[in-house]
Amino acid sequence: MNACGLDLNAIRFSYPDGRPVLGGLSLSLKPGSKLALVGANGSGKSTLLGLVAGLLQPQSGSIDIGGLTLCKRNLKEARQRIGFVFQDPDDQLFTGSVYDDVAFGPRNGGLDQAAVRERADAALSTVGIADLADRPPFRLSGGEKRMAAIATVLSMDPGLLVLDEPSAALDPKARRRLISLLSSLSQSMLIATHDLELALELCDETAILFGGAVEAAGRSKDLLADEGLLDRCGLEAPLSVRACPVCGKRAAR
Amino acid sequence: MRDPSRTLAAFYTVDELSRRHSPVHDRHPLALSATTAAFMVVIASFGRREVSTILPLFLYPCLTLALADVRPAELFRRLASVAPLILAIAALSPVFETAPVRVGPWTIAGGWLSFGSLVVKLTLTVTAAFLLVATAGMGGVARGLRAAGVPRLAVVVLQMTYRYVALLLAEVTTMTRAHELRSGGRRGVDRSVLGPMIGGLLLRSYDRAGRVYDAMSLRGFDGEYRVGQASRFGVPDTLYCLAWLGYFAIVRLVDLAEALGRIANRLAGGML
Repeated sequence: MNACGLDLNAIRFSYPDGRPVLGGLSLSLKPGSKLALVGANGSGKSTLLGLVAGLLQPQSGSIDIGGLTLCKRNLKEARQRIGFVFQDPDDQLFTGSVYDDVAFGPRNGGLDQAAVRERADAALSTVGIADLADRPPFRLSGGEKRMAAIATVLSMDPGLLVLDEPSAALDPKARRRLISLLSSLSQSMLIATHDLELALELCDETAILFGGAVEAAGRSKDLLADEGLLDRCGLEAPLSVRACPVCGKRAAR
Repeated sequence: MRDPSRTLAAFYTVDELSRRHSPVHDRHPLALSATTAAFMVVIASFGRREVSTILPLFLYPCLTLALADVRPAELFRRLASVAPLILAIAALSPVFETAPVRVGPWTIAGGWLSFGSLVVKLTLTVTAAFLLVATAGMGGVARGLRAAGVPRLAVVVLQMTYRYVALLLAEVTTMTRAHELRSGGRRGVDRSVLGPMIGGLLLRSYDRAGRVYDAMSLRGFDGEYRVGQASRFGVPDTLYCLAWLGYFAIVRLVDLAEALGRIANRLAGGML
């Protein structure tokens, strides 16, 4: 599927207890681009991802995915365009083998056995875990589980990847593999993360959420170097853009 | 209490066993499910005091274990975990059936025969169920049940329950580990903590099950748990079914143990 764009217009959302989370949030993602969604805990990042995936419904506003305005009637069609990777890969891997998990989506899409096999093999090869196809997810390491979780959505050939904290609990090498993989994919990406280094390296654009609204949106290297803005939003500038505490110089990016 | 992480590992081991290839694993799930169902029906059809007539049925699990290359220890471990339940069910028989019966030169309470029969029947039933899941896999069992015409909803409920058990065990493992690390080396869970722990466990597992369901919905789950297509039901599958069904019929109609005893007696008499 071709990369999909995403448009969020004036999204308002409160949980059933009345606690407002998002108050008129608007955001746009161009087809093929990668947008980092950063913000302090409780700023509404995961809620926003849930809304984009149709797991939650906004009280008002509209969500447009690749030209399709999300509503209950077209939820199935909209979800075919989205590959949602959960924060905890154990939520995403629920069958007896990695292969069955990766094949789950294509099977539900009504593909025949040969096409399912082709999609699953391609997804497993893309993330580099083809040799783990027969392993039960329970036996995988954290990094392998993360790759398997990404393969489960790649096999559905989505146009937009939505990732919730993709680098959480990964060791440095697994994190590096993840960044290499994500940068090699052609899908549009919406990545909610606390890993600002990852945001800086992977995403051209960043949106900073604060108090249920977009406090700032723009080029990652501009926003993530603005220490005042980040501090105001409960964040810390990534090490790579901070000035050297000794000489005061900044690394050239 | 057994370490829940080991229980969880044992649970997943069955999934791993089912992914092997062997003359049994390669059979169509319907053939395996139908054979197991027939085996259980035959077991249930024996009288409540029959023991020796049932014994030849042990050939089925023994041969399946050997052909499927499943280590007997895997089976014994699971039998050991259900043994207290089996014995508890069977133990009531000698209490209520006190009428004496003759067994060879001995006179015993009839309940002991019922006890033996129940233990053998339950052991064979549990063994057959384990072997079915260890060879066909839960997905295979589901395919077999659907092919046999079992309603979709019932099959989905069975599969979801199976997966929920794994999820529950994972949560139990996490919670008991967290408890152990802060219990100051005391064994077991204090009664004052047990209630909140069970409540917390249910809430956590409910929450987790919700997230797993979301992950399934986002990948097109519409109420049918699709586990791939099985290969065609071929001649080897038919022969497999016919061979075992034939054997079960012989065991049911002919007292093989007695017949073998008579033959042995005759041979012994001839030699004398």
